[in-house]
Amino acid sequence: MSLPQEIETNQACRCVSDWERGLSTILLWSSPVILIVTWVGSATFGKTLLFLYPAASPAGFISSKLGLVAGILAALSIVLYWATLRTARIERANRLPGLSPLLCLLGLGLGGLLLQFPKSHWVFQESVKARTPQLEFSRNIIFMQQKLFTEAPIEITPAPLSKVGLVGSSQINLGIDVEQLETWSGEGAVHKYCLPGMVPLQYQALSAPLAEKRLDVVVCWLSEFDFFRERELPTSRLRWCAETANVRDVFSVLTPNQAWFNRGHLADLATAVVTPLWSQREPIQMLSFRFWWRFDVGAPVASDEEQQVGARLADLDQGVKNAKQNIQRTPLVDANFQAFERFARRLTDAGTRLVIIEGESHPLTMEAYPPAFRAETREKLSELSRSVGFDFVTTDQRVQLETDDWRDAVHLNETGEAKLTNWLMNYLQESTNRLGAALPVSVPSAHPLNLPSQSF
Amino acid sequence: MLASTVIDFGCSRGIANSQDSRVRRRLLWTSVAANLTVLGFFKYYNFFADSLLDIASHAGLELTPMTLNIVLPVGISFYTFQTMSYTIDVYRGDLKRLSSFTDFALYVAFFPQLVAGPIERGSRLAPQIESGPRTSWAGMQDGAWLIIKGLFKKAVLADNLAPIVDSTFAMSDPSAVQVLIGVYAFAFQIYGDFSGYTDIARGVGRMMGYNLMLNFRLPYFATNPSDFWQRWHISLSSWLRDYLYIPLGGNRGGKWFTYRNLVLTMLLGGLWHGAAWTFVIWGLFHGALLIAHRQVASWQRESGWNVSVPYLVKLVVMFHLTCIGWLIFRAESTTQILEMLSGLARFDFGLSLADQMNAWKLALLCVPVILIQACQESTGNLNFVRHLSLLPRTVAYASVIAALLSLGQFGQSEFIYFQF
Repeated sequence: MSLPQEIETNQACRCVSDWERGLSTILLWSSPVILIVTWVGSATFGKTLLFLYPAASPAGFISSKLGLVAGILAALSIVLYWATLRTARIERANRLPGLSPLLCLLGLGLGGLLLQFPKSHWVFQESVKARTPQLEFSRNIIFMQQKLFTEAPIEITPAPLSKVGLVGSSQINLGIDVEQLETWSGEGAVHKYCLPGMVPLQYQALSAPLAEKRLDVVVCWLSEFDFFRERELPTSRLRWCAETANVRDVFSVLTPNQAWFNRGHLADLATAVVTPLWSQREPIQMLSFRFWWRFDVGAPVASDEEQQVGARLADLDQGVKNAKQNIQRTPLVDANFQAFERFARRLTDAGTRLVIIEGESHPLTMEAYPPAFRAETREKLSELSRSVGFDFVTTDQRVQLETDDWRDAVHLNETGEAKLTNWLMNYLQESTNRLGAALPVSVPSAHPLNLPSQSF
Repeated sequence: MLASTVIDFGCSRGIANSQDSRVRRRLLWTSVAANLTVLGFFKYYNFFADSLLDIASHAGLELTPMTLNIVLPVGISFYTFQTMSYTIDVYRGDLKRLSSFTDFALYVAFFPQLVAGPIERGSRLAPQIESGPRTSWAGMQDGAWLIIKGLFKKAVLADNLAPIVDSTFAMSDPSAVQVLIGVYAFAFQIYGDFSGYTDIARGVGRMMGYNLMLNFRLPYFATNPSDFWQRWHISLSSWLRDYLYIPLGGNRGGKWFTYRNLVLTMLLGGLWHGAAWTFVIWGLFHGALLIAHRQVASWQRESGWNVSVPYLVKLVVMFHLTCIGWLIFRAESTTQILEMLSGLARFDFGLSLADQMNAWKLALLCVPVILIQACQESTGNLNFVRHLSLLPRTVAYASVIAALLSLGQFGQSEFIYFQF
């Protein structure tokens, strides 16, 4: 009865050592060739691998900075490898216990920093965008990252009437027409910070960078659809913006039981704080795995309507079915309200005026929502609006939306969008007047601007 | 598991204490029968009941369905074989029995390897349990690396390949290139999944001071079927060799007798994986490969015509034969096996966008693994990375951890071998 054993004799170790010495010598002698091959290869295919561009002509390699850097790095690493094998001190260090894991952690830390370095981060994000379908969440969060964390506070000359931010999910993304609203606020003054399916815990996480944008008004569209949905912490929605303060915020809105139930998700977010290799894992996976070389085949393209929605369209029946299935009293309802309260307080404390529009969906979808959830959401948001000091506009205080105003189960169509935008312009105008703000002479009256003929 | 533990502890104790060979034999058979009955009931009852129904319906008979809605106990195939080997070893006098019931219970239910092996032998694990764990700094380091390596194989290699495999085997009419990509992906998925679990189990054991047996030794570097089974799921193949093939007579009774034993052993090896015709065919396929290999070798010996086939050719041929086996193993039904093989025979190699991305993903994940394993194979050192010099070792550690963090899939995907 013989069972195989792992060979771990000195001979096996010596074998690896001899193998390494042989390899390093071969590599060293071939390093000029490797330099040139890497240089030409990177110059020709570098942008193909990164941005899915067609291959460049190898003849132009001399002028390629990317190729030169890649070639030099390849040659240098070979020389470094050879030198470390032949340096007695490093040989001794080789035997120091724990040195290699320590250096490995250092390397991982440096790798993370490299990913955050502006130039490399830009290359990383653009490479991901190049290979990501338009409606992928990874692509959306990259755009959101660029808007929130890369752009400086918004400075517009001449100063607009109001710098307006639209924050929320695809519902507000489709519900408000930026161009129409800018006829009131001033050109370039309306900014959308929207992600598909944005949940209140995300509002909380994004409150600090939003406050830094120094917006005058932030408009949100919220209903029971947002508060009564998440069953567990939505890590993929929070990971990319995880910072120590954010994770602490998330932890603080959970009860001990919820924290225990979501311990894996909290650990996930905590790891995202420690290393961008984890927080950026979805874009990294996109970059690594999505590559194709027959460019004529092409990536899937979303329809115009889907592009406008920013999400895949579901028909009304499916939407109602989803609503029935998803809108429930989940364990995170209270956490969602607390998270939203924190978001509201941070923005109002930063001097931003917050306008919360009570959201709704297609009338058939609304029938699928339990009425108690609507009453509870309204009650809690009203209470918060009084205590925090923001505008909360319920459905009966704003324009009424009809069956024909809906594109699908939850998104407004162009008619609905125009109606709501027009109402919002009027509302902002009136409330600005009420607050005593001066009207710029050049800005026309809000009502009735750019209204389609079938509008109210 | 408790019943199995109690019965085997009692039987092995009786065997060790008795001098009467008849009593010893009866106790041995009691233990074997009890273990096989439990295993047969939970794992094979429904399969045989369904097969009987099918046969009866083909014969025009109408029988009432007799299938039972029972849950397969976790790890039953593994711990049943482990306890059986213990009792047989005690009977054979190869092993001194464990005197403490708790020690024996720990031997049966040793948690790192309980659910998916390796199927430990009494001769290896029982003395370690009896003498107590031997923890050491070196053991901690080895164990930590094994765990990281295992997680890499599971979360990065296997779980990233799983969607490719699942989509290929869900296709109704796959093209040749799709079958190839899907089957290659499954070859690496099942390797990553199973050997990843083994590495984690061995790593946890090593950190706790226990040395579990090697279960995989670079299986895709096998150059013939016999070599493959000395590298793949070693704990099962060696179990089948020691407790089935050799007791059946092994290769001591002439050519046809040996072939019969090989087929029976591999058939049972296939059935061990589960009660399905695909596993039966898989077992028979490997039995046929072993017979063909023996036949070719004996023909070469007799004729004196020694053709030297290049190593790389043998390796590639054996890998592809193994892949045919994996196609049979993964298929949902015998019909699907035929569909996939006919898809392969169409030689349609046009690549859609999804095929290109799948091919790229497969290459990106598997090529580095193959290269590292080639180094392991050429140096004969499975701990190749741990024995590298400082710089490449650090780069290797950092690359594995970085890949684990950024590319690892940490959803709720189970290990494939949990179902066995």
